[in-house]
Amino acid sequence: MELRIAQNADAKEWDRIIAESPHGTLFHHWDWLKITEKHTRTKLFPLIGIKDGVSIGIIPLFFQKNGPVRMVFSPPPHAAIFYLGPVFVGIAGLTQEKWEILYMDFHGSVENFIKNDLNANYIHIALSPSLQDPRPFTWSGYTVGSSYDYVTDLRNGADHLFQSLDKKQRQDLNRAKKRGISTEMGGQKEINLILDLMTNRYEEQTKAVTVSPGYITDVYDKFKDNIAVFVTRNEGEIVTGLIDLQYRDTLYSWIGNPKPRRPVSPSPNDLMAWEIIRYGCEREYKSLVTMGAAGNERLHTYYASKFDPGLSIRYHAKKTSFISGIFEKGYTTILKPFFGKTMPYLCGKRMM
Amino acid sequence: MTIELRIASSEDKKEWDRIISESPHGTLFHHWDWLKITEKHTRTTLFPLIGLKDSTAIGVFPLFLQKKGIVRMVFSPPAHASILSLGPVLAGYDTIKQEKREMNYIGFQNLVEDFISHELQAQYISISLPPALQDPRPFSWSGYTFELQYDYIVDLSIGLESLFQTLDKNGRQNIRRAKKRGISIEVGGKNECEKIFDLMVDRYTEQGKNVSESRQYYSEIYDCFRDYLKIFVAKSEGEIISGCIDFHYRGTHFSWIGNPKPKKPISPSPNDLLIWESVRYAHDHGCRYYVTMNAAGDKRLHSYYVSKFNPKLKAHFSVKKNSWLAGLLETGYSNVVKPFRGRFRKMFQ
Repeated sequence: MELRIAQNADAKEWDRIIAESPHGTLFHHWDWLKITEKHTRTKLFPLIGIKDGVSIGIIPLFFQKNGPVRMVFSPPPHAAIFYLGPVFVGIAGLTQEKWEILYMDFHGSVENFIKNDLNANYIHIALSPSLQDPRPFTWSGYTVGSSYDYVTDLRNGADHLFQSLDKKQRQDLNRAKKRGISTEMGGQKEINLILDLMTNRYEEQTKAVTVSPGYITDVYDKFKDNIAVFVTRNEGEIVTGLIDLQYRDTLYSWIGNPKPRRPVSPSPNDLMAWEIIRYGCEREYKSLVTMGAAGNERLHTYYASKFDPGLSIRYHAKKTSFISGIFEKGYTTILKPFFGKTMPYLCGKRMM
Repeated sequence: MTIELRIASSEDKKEWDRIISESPHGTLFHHWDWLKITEKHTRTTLFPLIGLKDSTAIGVFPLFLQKKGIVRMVFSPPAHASILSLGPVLAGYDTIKQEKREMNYIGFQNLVEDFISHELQAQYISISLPPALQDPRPFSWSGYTFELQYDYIVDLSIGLESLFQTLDKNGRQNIRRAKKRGISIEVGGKNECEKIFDLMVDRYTEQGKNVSESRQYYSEIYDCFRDYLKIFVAKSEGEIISGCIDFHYRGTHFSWIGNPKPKKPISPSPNDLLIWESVRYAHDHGCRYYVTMNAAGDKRLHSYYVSKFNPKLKAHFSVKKNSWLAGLLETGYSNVVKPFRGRFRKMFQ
């Protein structure tokens, strides 16, 4: 097994691997990675594993130096990327034994690269939802954690899903429509509006918004066909919105869904959720994934109560040296809350 | 619509076992009699909790309390019983909507948490969830850390011939050569069950480890669950040289304990033949799956088991919570006392 750092000339081969692999996600595509590198102050190391002259897998690593701490991420923070990590090809016909040998081999080489070439003392890797085996990470000293998504099966159609709501929820949808609340699709302009709404909402909650509009704009330019933008209006004004991703047979709720600033009843977010279900069913997507919400202790009940989703689990792995562990603790318990609270005062409306 | 908690008594045995057999989370280990035998042999007190909503049972949760000095510990399952998972079993889980599932599960879990912290006042809690309960969130949200455990699952429906072909050449040869050398596999009873236990004790002593389960425990489990247990022994020249204790539950064959390395080295190892014959037995007795419990999570052993019958990997969860003091004592126990005790025993045997 040898590792090679992919160059721009490899973009096509890279994207072929992503497209053919069960582990491939939209986030893994070459252009998305390059845009992410540009906006996250990281250096991208797109590694390809080659065995007997054939590509068997890739992993995009993002390297960042902060003082004495050398960090490796896949994905990096502040890019609204939920997972990345390794992607393997040509594994469909392999026995479990062969697959494990391949996976462990590749993982061993990547570990060497992280240790010897990047000298990293903090590593965080979130695995693709379809890579359900974090053992190689556990066995090489990582701590494994889990994240959760809700997955709604769209194959039974919109009518069936409408009936899965309770009576009150169904009445609210009808009342929202009667009151003139409506959901429509948007583009770049609406993306900016949604991000503004998010900023306002986060400001109220004194959390800093960490995704830059420039990043989302660049992503939208490159991946227009994979992005569906929904906004919901009340009395002509956009009060909420959602940026979704569409990839293969699945629709993903990605960024947005802020609570309207002034309370509107019935909830425009509920109506939007239903309109997105209809959109997904009409376009014959097999499932709708609400990314991350199921793992949130406060939010999960809201999302679980709609359209009877299934729960799906994915894994992330972290390894820290003693020093970087202390830095991380200091950052999350002191610096981050501090910045969150002071930023709104320091930089006015938009905090990026 | 409030949920309340009740401690089950012997009179509830029937109701308890009904919940276990109807829930997707139920395992053989959860059965009332297994829990009572475990309590008897692990120096613990069993608290079999039932959660009731509008007087209908929505779940059960067997807790084992153990006091060691100042530390009060709660286990599900307790150590030294070879029980690989236990934890909560929720009723009707696969027929209700996700929202209701979460309400029942979280509501029940909160009451159990209250019970553990107020009634049992435990500082150390360790729970292995049933493999079918693929949602550890309520535990994470109440301060537990989690770890993964892994099983290998073989689909037997592809047929014996195909299963045999999944072995590599060496594996197939080992089986044929073992047969030629006169190693035979037999299905055994209580005597054989006890003999396997003795072999395990020998093997563990050789490795400087303790067998912490008692012979009496297995004997009582055998008496109570003989219809479920499947005992296999490998014989060479009339002598039992290896064996395993498995069980059948709900159409699945669980490979549970055994496969000790024979005392005198025998080539080829009888264990390849032993596993093959138990797979064949499972297949011939109508089992759909053959589960090798926990081996897949073992860095050293997993490659041995993955090379057989092209299994699938299945993860499940164990969760743990401890106070600062209990954490310190645990580290001390597993790093100092446990290895020392094993070596110490070996020196004197």
